[in-house]
Amino acid sequence: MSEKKIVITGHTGGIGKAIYDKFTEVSCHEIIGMSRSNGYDIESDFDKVVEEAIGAEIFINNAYRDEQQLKLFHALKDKVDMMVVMGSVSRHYPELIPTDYVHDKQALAEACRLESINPNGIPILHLDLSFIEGTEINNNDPTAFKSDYNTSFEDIVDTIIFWAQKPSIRQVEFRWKLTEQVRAELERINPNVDFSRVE
Amino acid sequence: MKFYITGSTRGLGEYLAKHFKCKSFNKPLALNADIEMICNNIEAGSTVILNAHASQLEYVERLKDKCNLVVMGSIAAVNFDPEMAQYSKEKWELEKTVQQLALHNKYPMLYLQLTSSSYKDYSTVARSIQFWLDNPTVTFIGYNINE
Repeated sequence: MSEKKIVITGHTGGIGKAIYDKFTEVSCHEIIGMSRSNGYDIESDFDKVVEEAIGAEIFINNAYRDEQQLKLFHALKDKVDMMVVMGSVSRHYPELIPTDYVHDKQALAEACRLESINPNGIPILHLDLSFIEGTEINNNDPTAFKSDYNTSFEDIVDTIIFWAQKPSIRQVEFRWKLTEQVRAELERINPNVDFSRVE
Repeated sequence: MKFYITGSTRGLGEYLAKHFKCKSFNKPLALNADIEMICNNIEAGSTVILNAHASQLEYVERLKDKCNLVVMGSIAAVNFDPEMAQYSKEKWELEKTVQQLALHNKYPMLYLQLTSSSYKDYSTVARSIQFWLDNPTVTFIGYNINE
């Protein structure tokens, strides 16, 4: 393999850490993690993140903060060789979860779709992730919640490794379930929720 | 695990039938007219690759509580093709139905949103199906248009 680098944002926790650890274990590339804790805040250090990610063989656009993930996508889509974009399956259900997060993930998915039909575009993998094991919930966000049905880190990491060998794939979605817990949480967030689309 | 496939006389279907050693349904059986007989002959718990477009949605409905399903969709579902309006409409309905069913269904389902280039890349499609067999929480794989 070449000496190029793989860059991942949000590498100190959750799925970002799982990807970072796995790539560090199996790849000959230099693996660069960028998180707030090491001085790479995707909002306040945006220019530094972009500058140092340029030229990456794979840029894993993992960290979410409002519109910053989409801004990073646009800033780097023609400056790295390949990109993985961590989206959310919730973007299919804005009426169930009417939050800024879902709208941001919708915009991100659409940007990925448009880039996939750009003849000069780089290979991009957009992952529609469902609930992920071990996700830390921001207790200050009343729209955040946990699910008792989760996708494992392993399945997601395996998918990225599979794609890296076959980059003609552009989008992968993961299963989620409307469990009693998820139903209760969605009703808490949106008391008028209509489940007819997913039942 | 037993594998079955619809539409295996040529192209991608022929390749997948050989790759996964599938039982096929060929003439004199007709995919549209003999749907009940075909479904009744499929063993519960097997994997069925719904490759042929014929009656695809009906096969999904009849087999969803019995088998693992791989459903061959098309980018035409979301990139509407006015020259194939009926085909686009049917693929759109298929995609929406499978995406929803795949969330809760007892048996795993995989929807492949194929493009004209990926449709010819038989080995990538076979590898995608094998990947799903190993990672059945995946429900959807879409491919690039420009390859």
